[in-house]
Amino acid sequence: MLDLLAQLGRSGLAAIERLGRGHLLLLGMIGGLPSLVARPRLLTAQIYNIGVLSVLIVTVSGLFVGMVLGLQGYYVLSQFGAAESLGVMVAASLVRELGPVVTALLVAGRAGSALTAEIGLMKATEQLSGLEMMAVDPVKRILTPRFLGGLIAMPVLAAMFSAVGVLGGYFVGVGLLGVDDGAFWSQMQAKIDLHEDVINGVIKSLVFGVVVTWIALFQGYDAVPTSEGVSRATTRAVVHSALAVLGLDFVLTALMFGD
Amino acid sequence: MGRRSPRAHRPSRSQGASPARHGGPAPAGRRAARSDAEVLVRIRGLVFSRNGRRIFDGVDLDIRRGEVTAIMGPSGTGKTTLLKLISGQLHPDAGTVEVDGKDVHALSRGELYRLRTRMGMLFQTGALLTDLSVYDNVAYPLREHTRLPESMIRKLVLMKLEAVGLRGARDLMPAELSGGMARRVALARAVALDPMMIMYDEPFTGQDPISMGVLITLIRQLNDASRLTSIVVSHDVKETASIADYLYIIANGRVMARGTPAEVEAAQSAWVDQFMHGLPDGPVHFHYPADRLDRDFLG
Repeated sequence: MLDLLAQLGRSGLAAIERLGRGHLLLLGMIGGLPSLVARPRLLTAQIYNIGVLSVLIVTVSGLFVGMVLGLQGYYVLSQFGAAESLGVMVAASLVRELGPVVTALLVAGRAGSALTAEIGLMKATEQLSGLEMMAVDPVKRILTPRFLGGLIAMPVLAAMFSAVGVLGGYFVGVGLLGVDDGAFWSQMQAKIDLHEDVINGVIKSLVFGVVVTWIALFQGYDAVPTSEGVSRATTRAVVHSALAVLGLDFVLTALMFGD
Repeated sequence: MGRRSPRAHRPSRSQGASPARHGGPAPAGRRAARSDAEVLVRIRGLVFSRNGRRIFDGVDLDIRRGEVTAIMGPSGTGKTTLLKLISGQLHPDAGTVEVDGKDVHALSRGELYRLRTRMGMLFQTGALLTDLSVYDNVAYPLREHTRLPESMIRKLVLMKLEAVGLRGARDLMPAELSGGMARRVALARAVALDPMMIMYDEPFTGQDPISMGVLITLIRQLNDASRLTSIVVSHDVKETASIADYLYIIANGRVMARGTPAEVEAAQSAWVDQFMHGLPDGPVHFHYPADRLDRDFLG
């Protein structure tokens, strides 16, 4: 019994210690942001790696999600004679929720896991120690550009996801199911609010961008420097990111849209 | 690269180096007063534990300027850990590590980084940045720490690569290099800022005889030509002893032997004799401690 309690205590302390290290890393990355002004190429390279290379998976996913929304939305709305509101429903669902959330999950799976593996392997092959020994702070040179790159890429990718999703809903609703073209767009234009819907969606994306890249980078930086350690860290990065995104989405939705 | 044997590059003053000159816990009567300026790295009362295991238990050790000092010992005795303690990557539980008169672990981060620009380290894996070419790897510290124009950086990089015989490999990526070439590139990078000392972490591990010969010669030549101080951590006894001016053998958390290679070779210690000659049994037993053989097989 005492052993069990001691084990619990040790696990709790280790978790708190880990949380502390994670926050110190976040502070270090935020503190390193000004150093990127002198090295913009480090940032553009990471926007390319995290953002541009994720465009295909994000847009294709957005298209299918939008098409499914068009189908399901039409089925429900037509029962109440409100099929013309399909455009509003598709756009609101995408801009408020699905765009930021699904994009964050996709980025966590594609770019987040790659970031964790890259940083973990750099640690395992002593590249981070090598930088330290060259009097170069790896947090500033390696982690901070990736952090800001993820932060910038996430809302842009979410916007692309939502835009392509709306087109997918349009193809299905208007093209296949016969919803009125003008009603689809005009109702969307009238009901989607810039602040209430679009800006809140962007805020969500920014928060998810911070969380997903932070978790991915911390897991890599804190990984046990062995192949098994990097493998575990990569898995943890995706799982923790997904849980954090879904949990934070609830909190943010309650704060933004709850009365 | 010269074709003389590494021994031929030795400074003559080191031939007669005595343990007393290295101070630390030298045997009583042999400890002599010496100028602080002679010692670049001074370690006193070093205690360090990891995962509940004591790696160093009151180690005293001096590294003299201009010499190649080898730290040897069996695997897992903390040789690499010692380099990390000297470079401030790890913090000791007790004791001090002074480099060029500065207590490494009392420095601020900025001061430690300034000190590190004067220290080079060759990692066991080379630790080259895999997304940069050989040229860019060697240029990296110059671009980070100097404001030299690119034309000057190019000349310096080519000089450093020429010194390690890899000027022609400047456009290769690290993945295209053999293990020995990667270490030579890492060596060129380590000396890019003309440091006062270089630490070598197991430089000979996994090298073929030719690469090993090249590395042995390079370490000695660079040390003497650039007036460096070199610390070589290794368990390759023959190769390391061939270029070292002074040896420390560490095991069980303490210094087991010290002296010039000849003095260590002649040491009257069964443990040192077993280590230096690679004997399979002796004070370090061949068999891992286990229950009695008859009990295991019959009971």
